[in-house]
Amino acid sequence: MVEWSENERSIISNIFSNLDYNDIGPKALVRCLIVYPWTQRYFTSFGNLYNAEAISTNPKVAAHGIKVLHGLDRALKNMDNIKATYAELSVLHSEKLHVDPDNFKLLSDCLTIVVAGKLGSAFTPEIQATFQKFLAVVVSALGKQYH
Amino acid sequence: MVKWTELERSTVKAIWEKIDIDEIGSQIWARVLIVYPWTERYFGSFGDLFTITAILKNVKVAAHGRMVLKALDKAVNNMDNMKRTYADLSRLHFQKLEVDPDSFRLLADCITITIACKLKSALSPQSQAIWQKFIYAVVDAMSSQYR
Repeated sequence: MVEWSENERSIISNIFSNLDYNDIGPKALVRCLIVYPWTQRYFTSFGNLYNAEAISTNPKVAAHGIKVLHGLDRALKNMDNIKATYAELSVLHSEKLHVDPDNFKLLSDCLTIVVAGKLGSAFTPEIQATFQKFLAVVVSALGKQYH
Repeated sequence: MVKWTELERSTVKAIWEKIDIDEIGSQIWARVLIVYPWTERYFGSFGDLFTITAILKNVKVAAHGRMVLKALDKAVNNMDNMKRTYADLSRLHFQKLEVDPDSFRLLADCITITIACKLKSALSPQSQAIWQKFIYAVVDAMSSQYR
């Protein structure tokens, strides 16, 4: 089980309580689809993803980005049991959505960059380390039920 | 050899022009040592790296970061010839410094995050994609003499 210090818990809690989910969620997913274009293959029902402009203004992408970011709330509320918290979602992504688990890391990297861009110099090395630890645990939990 | 479009060349140069090597260089190295603490093993001669505060204040860390960014300048100005540009440095890191080449990728990621903190929304998804293509080409060139 992953251990969290009080400092790490409060860093993670602060990051999320200051995030505008409706802004950050879409930005993270848009970035992922543009920077790692093969990830678009999972979103063929989203309509126009033909260029960066289309992706950036696609309302289905935006809505999905918000949904994914709210999905992180579950980890936030259950930091001592992230693996169990995401077991069902992991099964869903593996068996129904057939998402390559490598992609979880790509999205988490894009989220890190969006948060860094938002916080600027307030995204200190210590905060980066803690945020990356949190996302790595989420990524690992989402990949856990794959076989 | 990596191929670069005119847009990619100008985007990399535009990003690079906004980077103050003195300001950003010191931050980059602190980020690597704090976020990926095992990298401290290469810097036994740097003195106090025992706490985050010590790392952030350490002048040798700051100087090393600036030195690494100055070396990155060579890549910006030799985008068509990175392998040859970095052959000697690659050999040095392999034979003499015995640096794990995975570390180059960790450094590349910290450089990208530091740039995101500085440029914020000016590092658009398209710019990020181009910057990452560039920095991973540098990582490849730095790994090229490892055998």
